[in-house]
Amino acid sequence: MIWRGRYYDGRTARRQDVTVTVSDGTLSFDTDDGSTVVWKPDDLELSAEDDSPVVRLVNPAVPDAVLEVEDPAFPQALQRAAPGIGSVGSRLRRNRRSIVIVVIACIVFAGAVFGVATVLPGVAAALIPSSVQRSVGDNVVGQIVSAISAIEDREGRFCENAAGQAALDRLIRRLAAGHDDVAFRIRVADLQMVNALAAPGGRLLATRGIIDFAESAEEFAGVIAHEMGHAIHRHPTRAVIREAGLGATLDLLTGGGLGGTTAWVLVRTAYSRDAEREADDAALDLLGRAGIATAGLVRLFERFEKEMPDAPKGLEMISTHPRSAERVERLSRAGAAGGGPAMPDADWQAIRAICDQG
Amino acid sequence: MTAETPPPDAAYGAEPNPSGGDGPDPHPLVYDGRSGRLFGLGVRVALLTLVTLGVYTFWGRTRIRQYLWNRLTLLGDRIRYTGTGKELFLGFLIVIAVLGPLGIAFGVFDFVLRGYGVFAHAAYMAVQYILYLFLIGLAIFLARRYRLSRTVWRGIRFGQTGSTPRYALKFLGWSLLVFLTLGLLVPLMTVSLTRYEIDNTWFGNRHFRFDGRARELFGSWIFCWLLLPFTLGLSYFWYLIRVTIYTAEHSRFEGLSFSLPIRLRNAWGVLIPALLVNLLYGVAIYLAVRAVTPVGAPVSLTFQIVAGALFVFVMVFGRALVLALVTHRFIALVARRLTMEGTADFDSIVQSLQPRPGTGEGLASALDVGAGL
Repeated sequence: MIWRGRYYDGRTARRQDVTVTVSDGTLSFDTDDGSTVVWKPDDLELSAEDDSPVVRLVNPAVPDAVLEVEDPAFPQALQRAAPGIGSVGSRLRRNRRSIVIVVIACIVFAGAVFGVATVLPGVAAALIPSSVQRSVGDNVVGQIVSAISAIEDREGRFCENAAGQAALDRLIRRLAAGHDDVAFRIRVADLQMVNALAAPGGRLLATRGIIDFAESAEEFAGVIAHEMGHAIHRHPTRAVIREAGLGATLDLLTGGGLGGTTAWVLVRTAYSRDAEREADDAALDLLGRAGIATAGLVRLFERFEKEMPDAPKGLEMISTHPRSAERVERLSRAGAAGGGPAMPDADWQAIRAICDQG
Repeated sequence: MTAETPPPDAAYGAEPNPSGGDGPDPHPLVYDGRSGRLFGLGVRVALLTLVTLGVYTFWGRTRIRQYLWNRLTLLGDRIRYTGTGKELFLGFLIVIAVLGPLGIAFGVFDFVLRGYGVFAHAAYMAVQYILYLFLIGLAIFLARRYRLSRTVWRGIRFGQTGSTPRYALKFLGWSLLVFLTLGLLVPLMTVSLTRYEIDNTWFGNRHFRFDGRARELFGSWIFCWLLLPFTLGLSYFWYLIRVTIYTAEHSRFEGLSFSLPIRLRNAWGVLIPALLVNLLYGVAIYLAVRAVTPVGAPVSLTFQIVAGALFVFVMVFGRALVLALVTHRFIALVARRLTMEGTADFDSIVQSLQPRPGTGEGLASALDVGAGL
């Protein structure tokens, strides 16, 4: 059978109208310069879209040349001459190498990204000098206080009562015994939010809200110990590097597809849970070594979970998240051993009054 | 709105105005795509991209281009797209491998500089922004080179020469000037970049020429610029259409010249959907951000559900809507109204000896630039 087709030889932009013959397992047509082109259908690449009237045939040996036939009966004749031509199977077979390359590239790339996401922030946090981290931490604390006070529609000041600050510093010194590598510094901000934060460089921030929320010095000390745990493990610095450094790279990825955003959110959440567990363990260790009852920490978290179920989360820095039952149970089991008061009562009263003016 | 059926004399097998004919070609470009089909394709691509966490996007983009290119018949012969998803994917990976560590290093510096005060940090942000603009310029030019090299007509490839860094510097320089003049100098940027692009666009071994001048575009631009706030950005789309018309009418290839007489009244079918889809995107993003950001009063669960549903809807159907309602209509409009004058001896045009770029659009994919086609 013969069909009308068009042939472009890929050398000049001339269109050649040809008649195509398919027989005896070959496909042939005459070109304008008198020669006959013979192709074997098995070798050819066929491209035809579902509702496109045109069938294109390309011979890989001469990749620039194209034969086009626009006849609905043509594909069937081709199928008879070369069963499987243009099928998914033949396409897969021909692109085998490409497929393998792509799959391997995906795996390697995903592995590299996750590897960097988990390893890099720790390395960077260890290498950046402490003085720089402290400087950044002070900045970050200032920014957080400004932001939260804007939301709460308050002035955004730090509580500076001397006796209260001295009591806080004593608590820090007691808890930090043995951790000379981190220069802790704690400040209290006059904010309603019930929260305590660790910023880079050992900078700690507590709110008036959490001082009021704590029913005992031991509860308060527990929270502070938890934040100190974050600082000791350099979580704040690592988190900021992770966000800043990888934020740029992952912006690139999410530009390539919305699925990337979902994957990234999953990675972030998992990382935060590990950080919280590490901070919990460190808190228990600090409290234990300072001889402070760990029950306070557990009690505060239980109360927090119960009494403040929709506390806002999602601040930039590591902040206290609502506790799950699993964590409370873990903390209770580990901290069952006894312990004494966190500080003299006079100190606790001074801390409670730290935000009073005058 | 369906694509018009091509007039009988432009059907395959007949030649309405073979090269060498006299008089303007009434209908050199024929488009027989269907918006319904494009919409379905767009949705399929979006879903597959979602399921593969974004990996499929390169193959999806390729499939859409294959459909659009293949639906265009120029002087009786169809246009062909020879790009592959693999090329786009590998290009993307190569760029990430280079830019990734760079991005991390910049991020770490960003962190360190925060401790040195506002001024140092702001200066650093400025440097980053300038670098970013330069990269965008590179991406645009490289992506265009790739797309042209994968466009084939009558067996002959298109191509793009020119220096990519030079283009990127032009892009950077003009962008800064436009920014400093609050957008007034846009036509200068348009013409400078378009001239460099068109003069460096080749078909086989011959290239196009552009003879446009910025001052001829200022009328349209000032008009659009003044109307921007009142039309919610719609006038900018009209400016883009004006630029397309101007580019076509001031480009020449061999003895061929083009005419694209589109009036505003012809373009509403494209402009209105473009505006509506943009508004849809804007609203969806705003609601989504509002639903997850704890600012002021907490949001109700109903609000969150509505915002979430709208966001998902836009993510799945947004691109398909743009394709079916904007891209499709724009191409149909251009095809309907494009005419050609003059002659060109296509038989003498020879395949370019320039090698094709191996991969393409890696940078454009990474920076999410040049989306759409």
